[in-house]
Amino acid sequence: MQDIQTLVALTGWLLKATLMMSTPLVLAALGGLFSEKTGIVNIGLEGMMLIGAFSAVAATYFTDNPWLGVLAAVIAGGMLASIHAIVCVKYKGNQIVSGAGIILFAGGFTTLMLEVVWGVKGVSDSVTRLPNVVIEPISDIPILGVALGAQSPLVYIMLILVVVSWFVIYKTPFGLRIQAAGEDPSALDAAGVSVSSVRMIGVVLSGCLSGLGGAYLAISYASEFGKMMTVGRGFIALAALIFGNWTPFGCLIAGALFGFLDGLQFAISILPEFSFMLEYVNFIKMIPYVLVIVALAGIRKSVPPKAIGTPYEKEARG
Amino acid sequence: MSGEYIEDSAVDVSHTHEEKSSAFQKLVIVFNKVKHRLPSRDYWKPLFWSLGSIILALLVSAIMMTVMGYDAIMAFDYLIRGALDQPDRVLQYATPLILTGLSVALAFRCGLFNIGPEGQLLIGSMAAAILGYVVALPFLVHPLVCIGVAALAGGLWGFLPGLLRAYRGAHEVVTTMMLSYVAINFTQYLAGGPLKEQGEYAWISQTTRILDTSELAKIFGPYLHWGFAVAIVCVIGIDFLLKRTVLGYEMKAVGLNEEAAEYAGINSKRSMALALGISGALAGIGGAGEILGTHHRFLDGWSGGLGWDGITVAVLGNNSPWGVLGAAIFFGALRAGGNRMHQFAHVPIEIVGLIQGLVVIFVAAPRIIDWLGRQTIDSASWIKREPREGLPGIAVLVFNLFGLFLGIGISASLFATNPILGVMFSMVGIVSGLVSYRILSRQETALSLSIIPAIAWVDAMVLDILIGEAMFFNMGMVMVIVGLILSVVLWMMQALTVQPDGGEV
Amino acid sequence: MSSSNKSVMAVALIIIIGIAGLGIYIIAFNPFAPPTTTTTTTTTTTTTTTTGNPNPYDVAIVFATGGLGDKSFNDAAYQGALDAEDQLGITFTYVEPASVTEFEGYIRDYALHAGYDDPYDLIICVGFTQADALMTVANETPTQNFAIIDMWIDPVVYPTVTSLLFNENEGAALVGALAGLMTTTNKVAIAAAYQNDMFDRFAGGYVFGANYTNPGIAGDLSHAAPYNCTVAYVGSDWRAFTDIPAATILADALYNAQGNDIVFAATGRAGLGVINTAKVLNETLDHPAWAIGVDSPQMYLGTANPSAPDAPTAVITSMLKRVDVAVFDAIKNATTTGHTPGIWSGTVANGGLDFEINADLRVIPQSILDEVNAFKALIAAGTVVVPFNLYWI
Repeated sequence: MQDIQTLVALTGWLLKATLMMSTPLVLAALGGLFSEKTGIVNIGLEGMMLIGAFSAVAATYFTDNPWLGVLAAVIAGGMLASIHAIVCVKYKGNQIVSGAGIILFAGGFTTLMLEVVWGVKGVSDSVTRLPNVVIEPISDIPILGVALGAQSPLVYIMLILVVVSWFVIYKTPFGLRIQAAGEDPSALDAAGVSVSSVRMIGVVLSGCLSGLGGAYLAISYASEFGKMMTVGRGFIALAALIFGNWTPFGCLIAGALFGFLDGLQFAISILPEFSFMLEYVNFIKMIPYVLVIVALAGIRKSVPPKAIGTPYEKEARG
Repeated sequence: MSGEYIEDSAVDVSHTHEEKSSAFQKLVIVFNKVKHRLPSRDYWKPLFWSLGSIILALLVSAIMMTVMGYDAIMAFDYLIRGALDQPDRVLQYATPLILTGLSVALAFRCGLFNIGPEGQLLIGSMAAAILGYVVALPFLVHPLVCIGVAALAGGLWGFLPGLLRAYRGAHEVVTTMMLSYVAINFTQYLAGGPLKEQGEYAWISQTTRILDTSELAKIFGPYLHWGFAVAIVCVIGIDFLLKRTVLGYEMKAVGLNEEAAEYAGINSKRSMALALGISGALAGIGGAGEILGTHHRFLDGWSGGLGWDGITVAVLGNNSPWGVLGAAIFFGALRAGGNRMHQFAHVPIEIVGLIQGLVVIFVAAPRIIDWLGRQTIDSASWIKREPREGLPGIAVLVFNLFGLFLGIGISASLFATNPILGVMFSMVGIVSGLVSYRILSRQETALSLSIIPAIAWVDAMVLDILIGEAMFFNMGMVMVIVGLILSVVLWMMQALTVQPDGGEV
Repeated sequence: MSSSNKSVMAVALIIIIGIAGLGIYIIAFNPFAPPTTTTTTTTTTTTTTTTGNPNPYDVAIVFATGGLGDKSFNDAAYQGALDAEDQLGITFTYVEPASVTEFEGYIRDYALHAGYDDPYDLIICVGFTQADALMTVANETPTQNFAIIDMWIDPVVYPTVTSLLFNENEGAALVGALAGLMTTTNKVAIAAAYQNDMFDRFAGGYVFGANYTNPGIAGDLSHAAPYNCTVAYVGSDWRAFTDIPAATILADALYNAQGNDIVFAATGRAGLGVINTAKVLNETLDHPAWAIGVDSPQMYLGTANPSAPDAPTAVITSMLKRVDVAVFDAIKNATTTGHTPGIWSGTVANGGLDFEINADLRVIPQSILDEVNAFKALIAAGTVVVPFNLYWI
C-alpha cells in the first residue's frame, strides 16, 4: 500500500523534474533553432545561457524584482548574441570560432563579474526567486497535479514559446524569410529582402531565448549564480536541437527526453533499491550524446538547413 | 639561390655610402637579404591579424579590468614579469596546447572542424595512465609505449567522427563535440569507479600513480618535461606531412575544395577520416604527455579545458604548425603570468579566460582587424595629406580615447561610494568617446568641438574637489591642463589658417 | 638609390626601436639590478639583509577550488587566518586556484618563496584535493612547514606536514540526534555530496545520532541506507560540491516525493540548493521542510532575507566544523611555539565540532536541547563511540 503511494508520488515528481530540467534545454534549443534556421551556426548557446543566468541574478540582486532579472537576462543574452551576429554576419567571420570565443568570453566575464559584484569566487548571494505559479484546478489531480500544478512561470512560458516558435517559423512571412535565409539566401536576396538583417535578427533572438534559459536556471530553479553553473547544458541544448531535427516540437521532445534522463539520476540516488546504479550515473549522463551520434550516423536522417555555416556574400551585380 | 641579388645590393650600398662604417653596411646587406627572402605581403596577413587580435583583446580586457576596479597596469606588470621569470612553466603550459592546437589545425587544413580535442585528450591520457601502472617496461621504452597507445586511443576517438563524416555525412562539429562529452563521462566513470586508487586516498577520484619507469623526466626546472620535445617533434612532423607528403597534399586539396579534389582522383573520404584520426592522435599524445610528465596519474578534472584552448590556439596560429607553436607559447605565457598575477596582485585568474575569448572572437573576424588597420593607414595618410589638421586631430583623438578610458574607469570605481561623482565622470568619458568617434569619422566640426571635453574635465575636477575630497586630483589636473592646451593650440591654428584664405568660413 | 636609402632608414629604425624597447624593459623591470640598499632605506634599518626584498608574509594559504565567499569551508579557513592576524599579529597571503591542476604550481611558488628572499613560516593547503600536490612539493622542499585540512598525510614520510582532521561523524551525530527529536514524519535524510570515506562518516554519524534519540528511525539491515533515514548523493565526484541545481532537485525529491521533513545538506556550497528548496516547500507541503546546514553557521541562510536574518528560518541547526579553530591553532603553533607535524584532530571534546544554536532565528524546545546536550557530553566523555561509517548495525 505504502509502496504504491510512494510510486505515485515518485512518478509525479519524476514528471515534474523532467519539466524542470528540460526547460532551460528547450529554451536554449529554441534559441539555437532561430539562429540555425537563418543559417548561422551558434555553438555559443552555453555562453549566452551563462551570461543570461548572471544578469538575471545581478539585476534581481539590485532591483529585488525577479521579473526585471528575467528581462535583464533576455537583453544580456541578446547583446552577447549580437556580438556573434556582428562577427558572423557583418564581418563574415568563422561562425564556429566565434561561437567558441563567445563561450570562453562568457565564462571568464561572468566569473570575473561575480567577484566584482559580490566579492566571491564561486557563488553569488541568494536573491529573490520567481514565485511559483499554482494552478488550482489541476493541482489536486494525483500525478499531473504534482507535475504541472505548481511550477515556475518560465516552465509555462517555455511551453507557450514552443508553440509560438512553431507558428512564427512556419506560418508567418517573417518565418518564411528565416527559412529562406537558411535554405537559399540568394533567392531571398533576389526577392529584395536583406539576408544580413534576417540573420542578425535570428541570431539575436537565439541569444534572447538562451538568456531566458539561463535566467530560469539562475532565479527560478536555483536562486543564485554559481561559477559555470550551466555545466554543459548549452551543448545538450544543441544536441536536443539536432536530435529534434531542427523543429520546435522536436526540440521540445528531445529536450524533455534529456531532462528526464537528468531527473532519473536523482531518482536513482534516493531509491535504495536502485542505489547499486549510483556507480553508473556517468553512463546515464552519456545517453543524450550517444543518441545524437547514433541519430546522425543514420538511424534517422536529420536535415540541417542547407546554407548553414556559410556566410552569405552578396553577388556583385553588373 | 638569391646570391646574385645579394651581390648586387652589396655593391650598391658600398658605392653610395662609402663613408659609413663597414659594420653598418653589413647590417644593411643582411637586412636586404632577409627582406628579399621574406614572402609576399599576403603571407604576413594572418600574422598581422593574429597580432592585431592579441593587441585588441589586451586593450579591451585592460579597459574591462579598469571598469571592474582592478589596477590593470599592475596586473599586466605581474603578468609580463611572471611570464618572463619562469620560462619552464610557460613551456610546460604550452606543451599540451601545442598538441591540441595542432590537432585542431590539421583537421582544419582538411576542411574539418574538430572541436572535440578535449575528449580525445582525455581518452589518450586515460590510456597512458592505465598503461603507466599496469605494464612493467624498461626506461625510455615505457613512456614511448604509453604515448603510442595514447595516440592510438585518441586517434580512435577522432577516427570515428571522421568515418561518420566521410561515409554518413554526419557533421563533425556535432559528433566530435558529443563524443567529447562521452569521453569526459567515461573517464570520470573509470577514475571514480573500477580504476579508482584504493587505500588511504580513496576519496579522490584518481587512478593509481604510474610507475617511475614511465615518467617523463624534467628537462630543466620543476615543470618542463620531455613531453615538450615530443610536441616539437609533432610540430615538425605535421609541417612535413602537410608540405612534403602526398597524404598532406591530398588533405589540403580536400580542404580547399572537396569536389574538385574528388574530381582530380583524390579519395576525399579516406583523407577526411585519416585527417580526423591523426588529429585525434595528436590530442591523445598531448594528454599522455601531461599525465606522464606532470600529473603522474589520471586525476578527475585534470584537463581543465585544454582541448577547448586547443581551438583557440589553432585559430590564433592560423592553422599552420609553426603558428600553432607560437600561439601555444603565447597562451602558456598568459597562463603562467596569470598565475603570478593572481598570486601577487590578487586579480582573478579568469582574466586570462576573458583575454582568450576576446582573442578568438577577434580572430574569427579578420575584417575587424583589417578595418582598424585601414583606419590607422587612413589616419597616417590624413597626417601626410593635411598635416595642419591631421596632427592635432590625432593628438585630440589620443587625448579623448584616453579620456574615455579614464572617465569610465574612474566612474566605475566611484559608483559605490559617490554616485553623483560617478555619473559626472562617466559623462566625461561619454563626451570624450563621442568626440573621438567624430574625429574617427572625419567630421569637420570635430576639431572645434575639442574644447568640450576639456570643459567637462574642468567641471568634473571642480565637483571632485568640492564633494569628492579631490581623490583624483593629479590625474584629473593633467587631463584638464592637456585638454585646455590642446584646444587653445587648435583654436590658434584654425585662426591662423582661416585668415589668409579670406573669410571663407 | 632610393631603395637602399629606405633600407638604411629601416635598419636604423629597427635598431632605435630595439634599443628603446630594451631600455624600457630595463627601466621597467630592472632585471640586472644589483642588490642596492639606496631605495629601501626603511627596510635596511629593520632587517639587516642587503637583498632588498624580504618576505612581508608569515603564512600563505592555498584555498580549495571554491574560492573565498563560499560561505563554508574556505571562508572558515580565512576567518581562522584573520583571527590569527588579529590576535597573534601575523601577516598572511593567499591564492584561490581555479582548478585542481593549479595547486602544485601555487604550493611550489610559496614553498620556493618566489619573489621574496625568506620562506613562509607555514603554508596551509585547504581541502583534501591538494594532497598529491602537497606531497610532491614537500618532497622537494624538506625544510618548509605545511598544514593540510581534511587529509591525513603520513607524518613519518612527510615530517613537515601537519594534518588537520575532523571526526565529522561526531558532529553529524549531534545534528542527527536533534533531527531525530525534531522530526514529525519520522523520516529524515542526508544529502551527501558523493560516496566516499568522508561522507560515509557524515552519513554514519547522522544515522547513528538519529537512531540514538529516536529509535523509530531504524536501520534496514540489508541496505547501506536505513529505510527511513535516506542517504542520497548529489553527484558522483567533487563537482557535486558546487552543483546547486542538482542539490535543488534532489532536495525536492527528498521533501516532496519521499516525505522527509529534515534534510542534512552535507554537500558543501551546493547545500544552498537544499536550503532554498526547504524555504520554498515550507509554504506548500503539509509537513515541515527543514534543512540542516554544514561547516559554518548557516541558520541565517534559511530566513526569508539572509542579508537581514529574521525568524523563522528553515534551517534548524548547522553542524559546525570549526576549520577556523584548526587554522588558528596551526598558525599559532607554527609562528610561536614551533610547527608540530602529525595530526590535529577536531572532535566534540576539543570544540572542533559543534552544532549551531541560534534562539533569535528559531527557538528549539529546551527538553530537546537538553537531550542533545546530554548526548554531546557522552560523546565528549568517550562513553558513546560514534561509528565511522554506515555499516554500524
